[in-house]
Amino acid sequence: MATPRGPVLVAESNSPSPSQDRFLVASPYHEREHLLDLDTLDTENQLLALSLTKMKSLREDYATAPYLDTFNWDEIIDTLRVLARGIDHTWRKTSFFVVAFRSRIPPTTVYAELGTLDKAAHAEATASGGFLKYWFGNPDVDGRNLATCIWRTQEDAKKGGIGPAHRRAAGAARSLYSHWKIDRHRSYHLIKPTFRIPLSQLQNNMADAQKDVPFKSAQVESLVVMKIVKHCSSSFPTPATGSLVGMDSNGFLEITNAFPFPTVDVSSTDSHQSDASSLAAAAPRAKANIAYQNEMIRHLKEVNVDANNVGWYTSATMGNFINLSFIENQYHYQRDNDKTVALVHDVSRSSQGALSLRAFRLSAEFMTAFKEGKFTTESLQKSKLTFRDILVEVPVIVHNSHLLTSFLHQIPAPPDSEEIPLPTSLEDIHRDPAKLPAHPSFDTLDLSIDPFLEKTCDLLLDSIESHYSDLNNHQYYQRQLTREQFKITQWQTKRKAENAARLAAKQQPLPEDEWQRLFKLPQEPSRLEGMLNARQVEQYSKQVDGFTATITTKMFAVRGNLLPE
Amino acid sequence: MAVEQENFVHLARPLAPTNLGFSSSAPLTVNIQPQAVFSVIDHAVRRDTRDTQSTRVIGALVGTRSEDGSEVEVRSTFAIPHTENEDQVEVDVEYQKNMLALTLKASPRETLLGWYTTSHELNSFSALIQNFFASPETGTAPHPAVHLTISTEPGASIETKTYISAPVAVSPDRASESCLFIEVPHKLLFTDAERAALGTATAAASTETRAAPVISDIETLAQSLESVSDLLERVSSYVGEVLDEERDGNHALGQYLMNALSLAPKVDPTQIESDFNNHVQDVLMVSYLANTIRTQIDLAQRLATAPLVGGDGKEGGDGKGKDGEDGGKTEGGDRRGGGGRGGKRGGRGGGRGGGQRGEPREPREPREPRETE
Repeated sequence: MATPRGPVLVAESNSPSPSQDRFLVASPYHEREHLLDLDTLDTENQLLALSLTKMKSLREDYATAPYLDTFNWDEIIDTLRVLARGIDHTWRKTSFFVVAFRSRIPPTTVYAELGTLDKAAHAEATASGGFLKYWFGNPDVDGRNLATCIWRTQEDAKKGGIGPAHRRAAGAARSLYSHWKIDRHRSYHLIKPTFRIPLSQLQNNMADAQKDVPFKSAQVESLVVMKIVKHCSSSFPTPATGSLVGMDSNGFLEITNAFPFPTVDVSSTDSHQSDASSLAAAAPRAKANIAYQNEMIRHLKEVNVDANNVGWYTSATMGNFINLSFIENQYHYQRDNDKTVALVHDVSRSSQGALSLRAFRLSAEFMTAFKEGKFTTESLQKSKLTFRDILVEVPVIVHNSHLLTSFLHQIPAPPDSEEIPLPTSLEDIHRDPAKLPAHPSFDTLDLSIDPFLEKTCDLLLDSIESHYSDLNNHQYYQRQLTREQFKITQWQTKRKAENAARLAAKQQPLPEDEWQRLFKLPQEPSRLEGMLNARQVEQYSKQVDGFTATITTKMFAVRGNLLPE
Repeated sequence: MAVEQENFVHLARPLAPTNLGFSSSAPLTVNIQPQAVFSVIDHAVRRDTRDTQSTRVIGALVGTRSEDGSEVEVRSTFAIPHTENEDQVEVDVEYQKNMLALTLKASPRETLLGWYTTSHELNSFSALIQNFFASPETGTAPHPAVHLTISTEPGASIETKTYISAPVAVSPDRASESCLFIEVPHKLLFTDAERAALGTATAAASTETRAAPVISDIETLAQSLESVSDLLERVSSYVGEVLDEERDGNHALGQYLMNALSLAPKVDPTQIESDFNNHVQDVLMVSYLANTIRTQIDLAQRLATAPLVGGDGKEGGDGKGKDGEDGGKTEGGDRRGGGGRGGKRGGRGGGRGGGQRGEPREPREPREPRETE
């Protein structure tokens, strides 16, 4: 069911009143008394009524779907813009009022009867004025249906609903429909000054009230890429983490700046957690760093940097980032704000030529599961969560500002003149070698790729090891469980026999559920560790595939070069 | 990679009379890391044009300095809000102090080096700010403060210049607002790690939308190969033109090309052929085994959470099933480690392992080859 909400729809117009006929078909009925008299409306509402003729349902399940998702508001607003363009008319803030009538009729109802009542009520409402659009669908298999009216104002809607025909129809609703519900939506505003953000704005506001519209990709500024690369490579091999700021717009998550988190001073912390790398990995959710991040964002805001946190970044070696710490960090961010992302920069892979920067977020299903903190066999069976559903990868796009584009075109500097002077000796060439552009890079043509393959294989072996220990844990648990259960059964048989004996001796039987107190079933170990490991293995094997692809290509190239056919 | 200015005369730098403890007069070199320039440019784009008449923005340079102070490396920058009009300039000193503390907290090895601005103009305000950054209390003294200017004029190319300063004044009371700027050489320094990132940024710069996706290794390789083959094409057409006497030959270039060609190793074809085959087989075997492992783990996960109908007895069975499977897995790992020894051996081992693994669970067998081949 759609709930009342009031997104701000922003619109701008200045265009001549389109010279249309005075009467507009604004409903499924075409008779004279059902037509909308445009002359009774002001320019804004005229234009709106005209654009609403394009209104149609986008979904089959309109009877139950959220209201805003049901209709082609996109197209309506576009039409409104097209109509409005060219008028020398200052657009005033305009609102309209929506009534949605969701109903369910028993299959036995004679639909025609309802239709007659409905038609009469519509003619009456049209006469009362301000009735911009009427739409209804056909009942679905369950007899559910949606009808919707768009009014100029709420007052108009009220006025249109007090006539006798409307009352008759409403009375019929009570007797004929098995279920009905009217949603009176708050007004939707069309305000000056801009059309530039029409539907995305609508969606953003919807997002507050409803489930989020997830962003499709992460658009990372080159500045952020450079900062992350610099920070990660300078602190290598200790993992480096930092915070990302930016904003979410039009289905892109724009990441416009980044700053590193302070490195934790190992000596000042407790000895039992003095492992520098594990501390560094946990940095994004450390209390001191949250304060640091807020302080930094406050300062950045003063120099016009986007002041919204949109996630965090971390460094990785050969894709070994999928662990509990990563999940907890991302959970920490995503819990507060769903539009956050974790950027992973793979230092080792980037050093071999191609930049490896990936963006991840946790899936909604995993978020709920992690919130509950239960990863037992039973809960996993119920939620159908597999290791593939933990992380969602978001495509990364690198973006430059205009100024930066022009700067990048100067590296290396273009030659001063059209005609390049030819070198006079071999020395000249060696002294001043040709400067190659940074893209495409020839570093990728390096032939020594086997070390990377070897390293990945080592990591893969480690994963198998941890998989094995995870399995052992589980088997231990199962043995324990069987043993306990065996004991319980024994106890129960014993107690039963005892009771039978007591019954024979005409004594009060002893309670049979005491075993719950006497025996304790072992706790099932969490399956999460294993799931993460599986995801990690998947990641490694894909990486191996990638390496294999490049290495075979290069080998064929080498052979072709050394053994020309 | 370093983008360097050419032909720079190194002069001994002027010494401030106050610099008693610091007597080196060695030439100063400034290395600028690209992300510093990137953030200056970003700041220039984000400047606030509403309440200030100035078109330039200022900020601080942060980085490292070599022990003798003759070389500084600008690693990062931060913006400082300031307003400027005809007769006064205001710099948010408090902000500068806080931001510097925050920046240094994250990278304790770095220090304040100087400041930047986004126009080449040097005026008395510049001198004022320069003196602020060079002063012992708030700035870099006894080391000289570096002043970096980057021109961000639309339509012109972006130039960078670096200066240090010496105190000079006509009268003592005007000393705070005058100084002598001396240009020092600088270069843009790219480390290897940054090259990949810069490559991607450059790729984005050459598209219409100023945006480019981060692409996979194999796509990058394809692009590199294409551009190499383009370059070879160019060289061979140049050589062709010289041979056809359409162009004058160049001895130096010819020599260079000859040297390059003679670098190609002389090899035994059969040796190469067999090495090639061995290596390709090894690599493919590694890939095969990695995928086998993936399938196994996937299966283990599925079995772990598979709905069990029969209760306790079945659960035990499941445990056993995993057991057998895991035996196969560790073997897979070991074999893969030895994959370098020869593809053939690995292959045979794979067959045997497959048979073993097939035993405890029949339904798994048909899907295994399908997924891993």
